[in-house]
Amino acid sequence: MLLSRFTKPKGLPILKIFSDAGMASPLIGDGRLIPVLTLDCEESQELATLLELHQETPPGDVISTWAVPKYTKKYMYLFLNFTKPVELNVAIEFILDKHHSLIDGVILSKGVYIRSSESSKKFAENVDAPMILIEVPEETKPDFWESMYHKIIARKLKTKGCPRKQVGKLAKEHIIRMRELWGRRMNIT
Amino acid sequence: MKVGDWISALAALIAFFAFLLSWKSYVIARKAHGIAEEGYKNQIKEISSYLIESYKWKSEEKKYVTFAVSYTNEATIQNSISFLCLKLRLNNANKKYPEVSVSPVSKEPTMGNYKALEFPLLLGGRETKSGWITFELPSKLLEETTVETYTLEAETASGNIVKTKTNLVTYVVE
Repeated sequence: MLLSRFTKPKGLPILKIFSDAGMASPLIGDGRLIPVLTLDCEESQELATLLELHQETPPGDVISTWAVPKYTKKYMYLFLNFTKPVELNVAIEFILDKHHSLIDGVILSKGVYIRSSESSKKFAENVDAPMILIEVPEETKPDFWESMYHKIIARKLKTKGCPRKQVGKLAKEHIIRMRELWGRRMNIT
Repeated sequence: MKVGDWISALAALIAFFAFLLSWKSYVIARKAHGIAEEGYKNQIKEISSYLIESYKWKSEEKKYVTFAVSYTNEATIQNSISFLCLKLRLNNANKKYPEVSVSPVSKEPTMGNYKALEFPLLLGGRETKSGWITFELPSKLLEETTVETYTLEAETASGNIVKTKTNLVTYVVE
């Protein structure tokens, strides 16, 4: 599901990304590299509780929706609507200039791990801390994402002094390289 | 008032009552139509699916994938799933693969409390049935590639295809 025309998330706790990482396990998701988001759960203590609770309960249900504000292209949000084992709605805030590759990683791997910054600020500091895996189906991929991602990379290359004629080609190459990284699989025989 | 006027007044009154009666008939007929329409809508509702759990496992050098699924007949009349298969979308950066279709096998997983679903699956009105469905994965193919998407495709008696998709399946080591 995609909401592309809204001004700002209303009535939802907005969770900022504290740090990010990637984790691949041959036992989960056919060995794909899945982004791990460490979230600042100050806005939603319920999510921190859910993370702990979910370790001992069977797989739950969550509906994920990507959204971009109508009047600003600074942020992109991933709305998470948990229905099982608890009912909870939150929005994860991605800063487009900073987290564009991470968004692409979530879209490509069709999943994301979320954890709270309360256990550790970085994933590597405490890999055993509670976290949950959320499936982000490919149907949720925004139609405009390809062009938006390309534009962000092209703009970044331009500000770094890349010749205008080569920007398009280099942006394409950059995206291919990043996707090679996210596309890696750890297989089990 | 003349006799003619009385007769006209009476005719007008009868016409008014006739109008009221026909209006009431119209309202009743509309209600009946609404009920019939609702009944028809309930009859043509399709089967919906819900994926409870999924995992991969290995037994005697063969790889299997098992889904715990529930199918609900949303209609008030009986329906059935005549055929079910698993479609695998494969992923390899260097090579393109067509979608692979596999049929269920009778092998039962050792974990879980659900019993296996048998096809064709008959579902009474508003009935739900849950169970395991197991498929053998094409081992040779999976040596050189990985699965991108698992899609369960169930064909109903009315010819509709009910799809249940998942991307993240956990591998369980027995």
